[in-house]
Amino acid sequence: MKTLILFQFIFIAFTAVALFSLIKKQKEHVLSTRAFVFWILLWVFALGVVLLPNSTSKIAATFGVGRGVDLIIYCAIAAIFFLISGLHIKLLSQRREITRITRKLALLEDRVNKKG
Amino acid sequence: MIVAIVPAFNEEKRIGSVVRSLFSHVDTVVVVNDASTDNTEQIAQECGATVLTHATNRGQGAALETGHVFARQCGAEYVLHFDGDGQFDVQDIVPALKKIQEARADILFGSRYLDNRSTSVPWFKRYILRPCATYIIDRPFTGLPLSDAHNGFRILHKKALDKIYISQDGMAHATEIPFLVRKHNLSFVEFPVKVTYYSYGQSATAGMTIIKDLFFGKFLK
Repeated sequence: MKTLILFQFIFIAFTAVALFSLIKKQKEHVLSTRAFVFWILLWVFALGVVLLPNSTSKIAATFGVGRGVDLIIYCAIAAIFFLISGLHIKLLSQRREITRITRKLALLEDRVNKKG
Repeated sequence: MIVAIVPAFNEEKRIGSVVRSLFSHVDTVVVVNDASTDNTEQIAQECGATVLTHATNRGQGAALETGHVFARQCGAEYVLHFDGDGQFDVQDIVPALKKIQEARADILFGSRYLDNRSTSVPWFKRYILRPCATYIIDRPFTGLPLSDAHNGFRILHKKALDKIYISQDGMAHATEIPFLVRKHNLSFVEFPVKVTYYSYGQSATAGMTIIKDLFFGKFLK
């Protein structure tokens, strides 16, 4: 129980830092309003789950998962996999864009050299 | 008109002899210098090649497609893919051209496994990597029964050149090309070519990169 209380304390501090950082980014117009609201809700939800660990057990039971924390871990792994895949595809798309620009430049340079 | 496309990255040691030897078999030699940091560009130019230089390294597939764009603009009838490291033998060009013309095929794939001339193929590559790559990646992905899909010696007729747009920048292009051949219903032939190894070439880890590139490439247009 003591470990959990310590963990809760650390998580509250961590959430406070995250929220402060989000507010700062919003003020600097780095984040869109939609993204700001999404991340605020996500952090508040995570804090709620950490402070009230039994709250997720009921939802977990409906999915046939024993413990609430297990359900969160499964969801987190799926979300991380989804995000990383999305980032990878985005990265690949940008690499191809760089290739297109590089190709255009190479062909243009050849044309200019031939004219010159 | 036959255009040879030679993708090259830091090939100053061999690019000169490759370009000079190609000129007696093709009309135009295009060296796609993939951001080499050595004298590849200067040497290829001095030898009379048209040099297209990538400002940043994009990979062999990207270099070949740059050569394709150039060849389409020139109105090439045939395009030859020929590696810049000197691993191929120019003596194979004329018989290969004869073969693709006689067979009225749209594309010719070179293969180092159809005769016994390529004696320097590393053992691991011949007996472990090649069967794995053929039966796990190439055939399931492309559907073409090629003996050596990752051989860089190819001849494309204009019809194939107009249909095949390489989107895979890296080595996965060697799997993508047969895939496109099947997709566009192009006819193909294989032809034995001699390969001399000066370096090991693609490793097993490169195979993993190819699988990753092919997988994620499916999510892009």
